[in-house]
Amino acid sequence: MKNVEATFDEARDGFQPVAEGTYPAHCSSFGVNDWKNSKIFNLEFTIADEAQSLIVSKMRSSGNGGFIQEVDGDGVPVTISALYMVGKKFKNNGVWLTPKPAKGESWKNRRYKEFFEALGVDFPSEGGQVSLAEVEEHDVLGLPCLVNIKQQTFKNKEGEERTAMKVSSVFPWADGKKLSADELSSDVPF
Amino acid sequence: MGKITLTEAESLVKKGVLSKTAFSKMQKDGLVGTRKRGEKRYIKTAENTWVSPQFYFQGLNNKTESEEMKTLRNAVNDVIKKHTVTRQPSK
Repeated sequence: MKNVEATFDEARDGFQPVAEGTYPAHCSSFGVNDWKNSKIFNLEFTIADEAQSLIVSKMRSSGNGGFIQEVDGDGVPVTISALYMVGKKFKNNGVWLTPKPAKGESWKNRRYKEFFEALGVDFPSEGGQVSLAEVEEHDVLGLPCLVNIKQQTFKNKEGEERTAMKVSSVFPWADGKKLSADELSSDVPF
Repeated sequence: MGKITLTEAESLVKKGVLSKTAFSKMQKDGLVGTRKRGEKRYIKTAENTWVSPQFYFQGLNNKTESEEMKTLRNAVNDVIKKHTVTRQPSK
């Protein structure tokens, strides 16, 4: 056997499941689809460098397809640095906009308003009435926010149950800095 | 839209991700939980499976807990602690 310089340490280099929690992030991708009289906004968020200072729960396989909190010999939960989370991308659940809601159905746009306001979009308002506008890519790309990542269960086309880690909520990150298009694409290898 | 737990928000401040000013504003805007959750407790059923007791005030709906409610919560927590363990059931 010939020696090589490479090493592999399971603790350092092994697969580390994503821990649910709240992380600083930037909006890094934007998409919108039409569905009947509504629009669905699908965004992607990239975990920011600042997350590396956070300490999160260390997860391990539960043996049945899921993940559970790692505990030490005394039953105390094990924690690790969130450095491994930096740069990971997570999609949100689609946010719906109904541009022309029927009378009495304006409530349908509540989540749209709250989601994008939390992201830093400033909708004009007058006398307590907010005028919603259709958000475009340049309005949100690079905006900083705090994202709450949670495991979600869904059924695929074959009807099999699957899980995915998704952004369930977005909160303002007042101290975060907006990233430029160049900074957002800095991980592209060309 | 939900809330960030108080523990998570305090951790973000401690690690320098969130300033105290931003944290205060989030609290004012109702985006941060108001109390810390205790460590989850477990007790075994007659069939030897683990369950976790829960105590809450049904119908609270964002109202503030009174001092008597806090006293009751503390008393219930003491009873729960007496009969349960913190060890994770998966271990």
